[in-house]
Amino acid sequence: MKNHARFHKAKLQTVAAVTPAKRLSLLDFADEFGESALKRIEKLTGIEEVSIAEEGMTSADYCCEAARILFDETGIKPGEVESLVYVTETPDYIIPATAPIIQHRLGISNDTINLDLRCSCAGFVYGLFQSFMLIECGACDNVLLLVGNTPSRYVNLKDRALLMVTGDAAGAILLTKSKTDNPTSFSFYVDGGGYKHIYIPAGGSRMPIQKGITDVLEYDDEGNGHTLENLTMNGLEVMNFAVRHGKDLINNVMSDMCWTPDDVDLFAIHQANEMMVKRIAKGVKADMTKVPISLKHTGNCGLVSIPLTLCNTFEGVRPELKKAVACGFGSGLIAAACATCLADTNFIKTRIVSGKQEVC
Amino acid sequence: MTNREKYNNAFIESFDVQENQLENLKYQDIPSWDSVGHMGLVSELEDAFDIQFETDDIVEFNSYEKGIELLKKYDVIID
Repeated sequence: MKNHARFHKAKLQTVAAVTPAKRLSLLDFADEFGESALKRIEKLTGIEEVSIAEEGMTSADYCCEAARILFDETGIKPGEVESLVYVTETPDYIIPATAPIIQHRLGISNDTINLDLRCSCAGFVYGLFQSFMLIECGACDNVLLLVGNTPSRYVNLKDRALLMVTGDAAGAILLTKSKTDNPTSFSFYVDGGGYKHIYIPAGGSRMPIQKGITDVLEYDDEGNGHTLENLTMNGLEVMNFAVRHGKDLINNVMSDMCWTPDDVDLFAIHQANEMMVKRIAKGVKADMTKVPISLKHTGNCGLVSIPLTLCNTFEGVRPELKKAVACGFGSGLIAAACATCLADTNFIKTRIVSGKQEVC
Repeated sequence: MTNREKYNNAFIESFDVQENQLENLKYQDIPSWDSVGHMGLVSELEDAFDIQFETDDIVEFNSYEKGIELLKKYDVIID
């Protein structure tokens, strides 16, 4: 398969995740949208409240918090990091990339490989893929992978569908060279024809922000209000893509590893909403006891949802996680899956942070 | 409970509507039949009839009447 890759030399050593302290409860919007509508959404999505970045805080700020927790817990020093990969769809600036700013802020050595990846809900798996490549090719022996997203900045308060499901969070993952063979499989799918299904039309080079044009509030067919500067989503099309290709990619990596669904110890599926997670899990015949769901108090945290779920579910080293599958899907439209061993991985329990903006 | 009753109940439960509103009801006709509500309806019907919709059928399912037609593929006849 062309959309497929196999690695052997890297492993996930430690995973940390943080969420902002600020929460937006669905019931805060009872007057606006009606209590029965909110309760229906809560029942269907499994989300009671969403985590929201505090004023002035960016994805990079929360990633730095997650990285510092990882450094404190593992004893690794910033100067020992050999590569930094930062994955987000909400960078600090259009130019430059954010990873160099994080490198400076965390005190990571100047002699490191340093790059941003723009990817949303499949971004954790893509970040792993990039990190595995760096170690496999011999460029370095460890990679600090940071994943962060603050999409709440772009959601209009009149958009009932997105407002009540979209959360902010960040994660830090340390990958190291494995002393033993660690077969790891990746599989990918992309359909750029669907790029408008999750989309912020204005603010980039294609459609610069123009007062009176891009900031005009309009309502879509489902009654959700947004301007061209806001995040919009065609939920049904995204669901269609995710269920179809998420299932296929999970089956691809299981097949490549010669695993059956019963062999797998963990299915870590992007937490888009509870229904979608269950639907994909059902599609690959996963035992639901192996499919953690952790949206209730954070919402859909995009590319952070998988490491966040891991850190909400596990603490310390879990030797039973010998066969783990992760799958993300979302804007692009992009989907990616990975199968690896997490039996040696140290999970740091999710921390709630209320950090302050740092200016370099 | 007849298949029709099961089918109607799925709509009533999912969208908080009355039975007399169901005929000619289409996707996005009412605020509760949005994309999230649609997935809820699909789950209710799958549980009620012990089936699993193909992804294409979930997307094609855009009205009360269309659902009846699609269910025939799964040997569920709504009289």
